[in-house]
Amino acid sequence: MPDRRTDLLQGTLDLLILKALLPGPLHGLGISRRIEQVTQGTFQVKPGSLFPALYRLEEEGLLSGSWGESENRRRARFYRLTRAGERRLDSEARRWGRISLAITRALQTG
Amino acid sequence: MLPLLRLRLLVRHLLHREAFEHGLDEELRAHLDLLIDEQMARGATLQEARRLAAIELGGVEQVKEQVRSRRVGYFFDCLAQDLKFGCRMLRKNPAYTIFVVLILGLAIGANASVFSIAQAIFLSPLPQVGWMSRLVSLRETLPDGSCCQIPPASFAALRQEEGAFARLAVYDWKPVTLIQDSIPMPLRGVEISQDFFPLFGGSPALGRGFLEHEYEPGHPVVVISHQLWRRRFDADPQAVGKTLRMNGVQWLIVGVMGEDFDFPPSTDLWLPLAYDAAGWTSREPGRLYVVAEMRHGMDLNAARGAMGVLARRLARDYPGSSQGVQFQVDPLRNRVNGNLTPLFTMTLAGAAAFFLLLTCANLANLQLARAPARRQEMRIRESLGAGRGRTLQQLLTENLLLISLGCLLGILLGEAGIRLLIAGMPPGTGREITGWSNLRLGGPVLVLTLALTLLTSLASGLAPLWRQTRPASPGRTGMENRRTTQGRTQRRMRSFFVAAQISLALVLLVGAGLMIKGFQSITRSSDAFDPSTLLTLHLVLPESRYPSQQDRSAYLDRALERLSSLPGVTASCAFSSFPLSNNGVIWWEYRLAGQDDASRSYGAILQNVSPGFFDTLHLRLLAGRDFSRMDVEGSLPVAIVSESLARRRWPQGSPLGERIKLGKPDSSWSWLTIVGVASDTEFDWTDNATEPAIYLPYLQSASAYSYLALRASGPAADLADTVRRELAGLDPELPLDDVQTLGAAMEGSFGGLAEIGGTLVLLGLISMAIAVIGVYAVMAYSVGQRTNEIGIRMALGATPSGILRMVFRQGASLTLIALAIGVAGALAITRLVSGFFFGVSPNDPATFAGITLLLAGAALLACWLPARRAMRVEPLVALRYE
Repeated sequence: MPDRRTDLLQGTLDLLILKALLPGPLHGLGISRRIEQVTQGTFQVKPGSLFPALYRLEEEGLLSGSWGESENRRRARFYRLTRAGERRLDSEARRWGRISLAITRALQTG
Repeated sequence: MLPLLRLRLLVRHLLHREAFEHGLDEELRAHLDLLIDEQMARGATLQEARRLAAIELGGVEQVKEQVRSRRVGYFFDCLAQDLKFGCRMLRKNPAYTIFVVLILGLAIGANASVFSIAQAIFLSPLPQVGWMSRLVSLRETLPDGSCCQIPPASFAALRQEEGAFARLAVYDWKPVTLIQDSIPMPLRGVEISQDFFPLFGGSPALGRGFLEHEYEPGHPVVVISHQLWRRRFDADPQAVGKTLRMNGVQWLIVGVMGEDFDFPPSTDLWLPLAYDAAGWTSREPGRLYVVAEMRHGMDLNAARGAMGVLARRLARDYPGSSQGVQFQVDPLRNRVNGNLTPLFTMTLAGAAAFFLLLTCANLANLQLARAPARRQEMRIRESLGAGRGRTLQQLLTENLLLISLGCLLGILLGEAGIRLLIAGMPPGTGREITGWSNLRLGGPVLVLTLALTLLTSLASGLAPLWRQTRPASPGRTGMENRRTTQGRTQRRMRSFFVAAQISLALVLLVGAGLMIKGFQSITRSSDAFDPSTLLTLHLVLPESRYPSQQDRSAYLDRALERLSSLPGVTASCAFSSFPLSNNGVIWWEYRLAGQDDASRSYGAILQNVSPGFFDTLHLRLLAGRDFSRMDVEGSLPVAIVSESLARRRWPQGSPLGERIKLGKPDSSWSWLTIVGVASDTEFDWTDNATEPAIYLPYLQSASAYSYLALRASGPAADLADTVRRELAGLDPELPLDDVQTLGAAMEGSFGGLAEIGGTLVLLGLISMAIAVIGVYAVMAYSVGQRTNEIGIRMALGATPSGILRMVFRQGASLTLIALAIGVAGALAITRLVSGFFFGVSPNDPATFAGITLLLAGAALLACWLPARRAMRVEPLVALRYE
């Protein structure tokens, strides 16, 4: 049963996943490591939240997944950003920028 | 997400679940491998790497469940899962499943068939009439409360005054004889007035209805039924324009009704009701059935008010009419199948509803009983992360599954019940009961049944389930087990449901008992006639060939002469109203000599009889004399009155020699001198009252409708063929109907009642069994659960007999309280439907006492057996049990 708090977190997670995939396709572990790396360890994405998000984004047509081979020759499922995914990343990023700017301002004034 | 996309995904997910599961499994395994690689790259040993990877991944199954729960269609997945699990649970407990499905099936089946009956014969007996609730039947009530048919003159006046009514119609039975290949064939004719067809929503499928001028005398035209058209004319489209020879006259067929129009039931042909001017001014009670359609916006009370005003005006405008006569306005629904139908449907529906309630109570109890046994399972589910909602959903699904099976069985049983009922009713039932031919398990009934099913599942499941899924309070987990005494709430709930079952069963049993007792009393009242040696038959003397009263009495004379000379016949007679069946019964108004006040009029049933009537039917003459062959037209007009009439009108003295007059104050009847008093006869067994009757000698007033009766020295059924032959020799064109013994005629008339009584008894016995089993189960279970407690009590010094008393007292007090509630409920409810119990008081002490004792005995036995078991508990064994 999703409540409002997880919705917010989910939106953030979606944005982070889309952003992580912008440079190129990655498998699940690659995505969570990339997010950990770029947020300098602030977000540690557990499989229990990563995979539901990946499957849902794929269902929505923002990602497309296919089986491939990892750098150390393991079979893995790689996710790639679709055109729709790129557009969503763009709009979400701008929205997030506006919100964080507004919140930063709000916290600074007064 | 867009709805369309959701739908597409839903379909895809439901279709490709296996591929999805496979892919998910593979991906998670690959993920684990990648994690292991990563750890090994950091320098861990293989074993260490595996451990760390597993920790990071967490429970594979939990991750899978989380992915699944976010997918579209998760609900259906759960449902499928729950159904699968539910089926397994049901298979695992076959006794429980079979018991529940069986009692549910019975309850739902009983309700389905009862609703079908109510729908067919009470709620919409005329499916083609969409305005049934606006149709009313009209009669007249005399100041003493008796009801008569409306005389033609009053109907004519009503038609002038259509204030409250949009349409008014009358109809009257008109038996006719069709001569086909020189064989007489009795047909059901109905004479109708102009508005009859539109009022009842019918129009001829072929040809036309009657024209306005054809409602005047001298136009032999008929509209025939679809049935007769097929039977007699092989559905020939050219039938319109042909003629039928009936009652000695050629009739022109002007129309054929459609197949769906069958009112009054099993009519063969409709004729125009053609009274001449004198006929319409007659103020003698006829056999006219008056039906009216209220205007839009009028209700029953408004119509009654309007008719009250009209009745007062008519009394004023027609000097010489009786004062204080009122119009009786009843919904046609209550009258079309007799006064009994509303009560009949109410009683049956009430019984079925009670049975369903009882079943719900039983079901709720079973669920409660299973709760502790399943507590372990609930705890495991809880610890595996299932929320309360999810568990509740699963239990509800399980419940619903069980109840759906019961519903399925119920529909089958309901259908079977209706077929049994149709097969069990006398074959002529369809001819007497409007709507009977439409009796089937139809759409609305099925919808209602489904609604009932859902309601049952909620009613019986929610409370126990709510308790069952309640999270354990931390202190209690592990403390409670199958052998500890149950919590107070739990015990109270179970006691409540058991008590409810006993009370409901008591109400049902009392109802059934009263019906049976009443049925016996009716049978006894027909036994007074010695029905097996009395042969009766019905004949109609058509006016065309027996126009005058002398012709009719001459025929009856000759017929009786022939019949009484037959071997084996000891007595014979003719009469006009059939006892106990309400057939041919006409209520007449009468007044007493010496009471000039026009408002002093009373009602009585008029019976034309031949000399020897009282002897033949085994009635007694209490005073005075029988009619004789000397009581003919021209001699002193005489009458015999019934005992109850005599007692009511002349409470002190003897009525012999007193004079009465029939009809309105200004009627042309002569004053009749009372020459005898006869014992009472029951004419209408449905009204619980003894009807006053006036007997007239048929030689002074033979009616066109007559019954003949023969008393045989042995079983009378064997005489039927001889009698037919004899009477055919007298007049081959005369229709003879219902040549049968009085016993057979009674069976036809009571048959339905016996069926209902039987059904009620069966329902009552089943509910008693269920309730008693319920008591036993609760007691046995409670003893089983209290083993620990009992062991401790005994170890502390309680004696076995003390334990027996303690346990027995608990069950017995519950039973007694439930019985008290049941008796109170039964008293209230039987009074409500008291009109349905014939010849027995609705609070008949013997029935109440007997049934309460029976149920108490059974329930107390069900308490005692487990109590005795409790007494034998070995304290050491009980305490070591864990």
